[in-house]
Amino acid sequence: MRRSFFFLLGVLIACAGAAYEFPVDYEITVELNPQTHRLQGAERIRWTNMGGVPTSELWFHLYLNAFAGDRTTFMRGMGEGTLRGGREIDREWGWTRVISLRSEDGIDLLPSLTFERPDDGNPEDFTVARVLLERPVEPGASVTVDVTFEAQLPRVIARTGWAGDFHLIGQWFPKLGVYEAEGHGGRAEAGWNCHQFHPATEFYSDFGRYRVQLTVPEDFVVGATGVQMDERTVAEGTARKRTLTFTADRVHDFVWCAAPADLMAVIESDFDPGRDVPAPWLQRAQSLLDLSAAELELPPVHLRLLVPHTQMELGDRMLRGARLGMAWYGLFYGAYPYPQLTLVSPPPGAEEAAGMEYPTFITTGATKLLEYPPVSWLGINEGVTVHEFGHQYFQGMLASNEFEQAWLDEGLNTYADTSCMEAISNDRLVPEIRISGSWASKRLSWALRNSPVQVDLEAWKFRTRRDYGTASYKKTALVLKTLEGLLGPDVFARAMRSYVDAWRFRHPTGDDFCVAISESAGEDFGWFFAQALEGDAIVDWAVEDVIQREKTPAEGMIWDGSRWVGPAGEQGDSGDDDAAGEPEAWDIHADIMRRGDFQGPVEVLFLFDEGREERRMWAGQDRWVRFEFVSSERLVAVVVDPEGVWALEGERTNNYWRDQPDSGAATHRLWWAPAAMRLIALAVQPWS
Amino acid sequence: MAEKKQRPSIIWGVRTAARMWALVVVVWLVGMAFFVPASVVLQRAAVEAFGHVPEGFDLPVGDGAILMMGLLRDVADTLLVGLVLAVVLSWSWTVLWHAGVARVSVWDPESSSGVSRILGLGLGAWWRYCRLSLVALVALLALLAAIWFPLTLGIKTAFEAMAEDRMVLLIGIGVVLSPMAKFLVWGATLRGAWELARPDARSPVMAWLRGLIGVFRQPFSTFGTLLVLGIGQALFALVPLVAPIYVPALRGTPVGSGVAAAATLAASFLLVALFAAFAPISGVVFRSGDDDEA
Repeated sequence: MRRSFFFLLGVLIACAGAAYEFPVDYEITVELNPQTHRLQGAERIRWTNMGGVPTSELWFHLYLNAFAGDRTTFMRGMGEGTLRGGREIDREWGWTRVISLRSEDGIDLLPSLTFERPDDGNPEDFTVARVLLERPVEPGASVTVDVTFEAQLPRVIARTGWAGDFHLIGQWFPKLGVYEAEGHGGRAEAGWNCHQFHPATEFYSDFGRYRVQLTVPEDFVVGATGVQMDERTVAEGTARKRTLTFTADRVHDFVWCAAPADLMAVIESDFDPGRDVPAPWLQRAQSLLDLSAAELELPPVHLRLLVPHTQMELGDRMLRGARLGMAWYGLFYGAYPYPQLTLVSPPPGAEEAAGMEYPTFITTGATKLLEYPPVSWLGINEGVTVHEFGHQYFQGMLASNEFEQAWLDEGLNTYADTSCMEAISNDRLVPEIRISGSWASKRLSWALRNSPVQVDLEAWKFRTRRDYGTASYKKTALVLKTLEGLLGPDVFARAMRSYVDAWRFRHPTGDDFCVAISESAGEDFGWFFAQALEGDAIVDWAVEDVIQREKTPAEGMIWDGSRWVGPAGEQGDSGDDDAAGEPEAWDIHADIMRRGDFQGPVEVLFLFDEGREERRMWAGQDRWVRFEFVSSERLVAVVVDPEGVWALEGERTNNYWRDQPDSGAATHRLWWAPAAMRLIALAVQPWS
Repeated sequence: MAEKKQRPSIIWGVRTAARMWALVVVVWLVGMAFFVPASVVLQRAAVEAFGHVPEGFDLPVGDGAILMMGLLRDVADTLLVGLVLAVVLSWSWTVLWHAGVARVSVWDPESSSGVSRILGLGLGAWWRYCRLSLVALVALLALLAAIWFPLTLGIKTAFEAMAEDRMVLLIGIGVVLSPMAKFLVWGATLRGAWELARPDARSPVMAWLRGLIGVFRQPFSTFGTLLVLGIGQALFALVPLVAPIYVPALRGTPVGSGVAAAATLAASFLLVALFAAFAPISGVVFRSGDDDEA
């Protein structure tokens, strides 16, 4: 009954897409040969020119050609040979071959196909192909081409390929790039955006409708983008095969997984908002977003999990992670708009396929070891699932250009999933998680690094993959956390929600994001984004110096406005003893320094004797500022950024100053250290 | 009436440790003293890192870890040197008092068990007992390698065959066998130390091997003694670290320091008792009803 409901929902959604606003439509048939790991396919692509300018070209991604040899741009950039720590490709190469390419008039376009290398000119790279059409496609007009192709899957690498009988089939068909209009992403003129495949890059393509027929051996189970509409079994000689039809609307990619049923189990489940949205989260969302419960209502979603039989015990936790992610992201970034989410946990040996996102399809990354403490206490399973689900928003629905601005997906999602995991932990929604500290670990990880790295850079232009990872993931997440602190959680939450709502299915750029945030916030935050994303300035505030002098009564004559008055007993009218005002005890000045190059407003907390406190804001433009006080109480402590607004700040020791450092408190924090050190001596006992 | 016991005896060990209470105190104090330099380095850095945080101030999320990281980063090299030195000294000191206790019990049982006497005799045999210890270390490493090398190959094969159940089973076998190996070596070393104390013993290697054979001949008494006294002293040693986790009032307070001192003293007592419990295998004679004579 439930499957019928989701099937019908899928049909309705597919039909709703008939009022078609997206540029591309794929109809693909493909058969997998699990012995040779090869695909034979045919696709009919209908492409509509929404770029505003006629074009006579179609540009295609042929991603699998990145694995055709060791001299492709991808393989050269890999260096040590693995992306996710899995085994090397081991000469089990992958490739795509276009067999035929014809227009709907039957004109053979294949002779016009050329391979392009727009990024590095590498003649050994064949991941981008350009085809010339017999006539230009006018703006608003469409062209249909029929392609037959053959694709050899590599041994699983970079989220696609095979391992044993397990197949994770991504980037497997000739896929069009994006024809961008003038002005999009600062383009001077309309044109195709179609980059080569680099180890640090992910993907960028247009939204559209997919209808895909997959043929696999009868004993295989399949998970795919979209919703399954149809299935039939055919006999070919002695072999029996299954052909399944999937359809997906408003997506920009199609990926699937096929494996024997005795390797992978299928678990059907659902996200039921009435059951799965935690009440505290709903209240929090209502408060921060200023939306009613009705406005925050989420639809049910079918969940389909493919998991190795050996990991069945983890299936519940994966599904729970997916439901919690769906609840969090749904409340704060809008409802998940598709009827189904498919999750796949790759078996061991296929870890290069783990932890990846595709439209309505994610791979998690579990191992049976996660069942056992203490590993089971860490929430790794939930963390990966939430993170990969979160990509449905930033990669799936917004679909920024991951080649050129990876941070718009990875960084925004890291911010969102860290917030979600923090909420899961604080609200104790997963009792098995006993060790947490999401934002603390992000800050610590950044502090360990804390070296200049620019965020807004094309993915292949980072000096190292580590720089790419740091910039695109954690630094961006901390940039957003800092922005949340500067704007306030409610304003920031609304700004993010507005951005996601406004830019769904529209390929926003970094500029679009920055403008959206500034508009929502009601003030221009260009100064912040310029430093945080385009620059590599480091944030570092410090209490540089504090001087306190006991204020002594003034000596000498005092001008009262009309005459000189002196201290009692001296020539001249003796002054009123009160003319100098109440005696003040301390003359204090505190110098706060901006040691980093990042300029911005920061709060400074001053704590005086007897509990009095004062907070002052500093614009943080100059290199330093002096705060002066005349106070009857002594200044006992100063804290720069007491609320931790500047999550980007990696050096915090110099943010604190005390008149008299408290060795007792410091010792109290390290109560564990002497005991831990003595335990080291236990290690020598068995052999001494 | 003399009764010759040649198997480890927990009661014998506890009584001997009680008699050698002065040694227990010295073992306790010296064991802590080795870590004083490292502790001082850490405490001074802690004052720099945390001493400027206002009293009662709620650190922002992540600041505690960042301050701690900064503290450790500043003193990492010095701390590492201090810890390595402390471990080496701990080992050397353990060898010394083991040698001393063994020698005084076997060679001069009628004499007083004064600390200076024990350590004096121990100094004379220190190098021989160091060699025994190094034999034990080599044996431990060899045993662990013998366990994990084939297991690692098996785990790798299972992983590539996507046989997760087999992979987890093999890891579990390794996790179980590793402490067993450690206990085997520990038992053999303790026994070997008393074998080496015999007047006719010369070779540390042979003494350790005799100790190993003794473990197989008397597995229950050997492992039983290790379990009760060895695990017992480790559990007491853990108290200063674990108790404050559950009882915050013990963190860095005088009461906490008192609890830690008592627990580590108890651990030292059990450590001496553990070593002394193996004395009977060297032919040390226990006179029943007479607690003061070997």
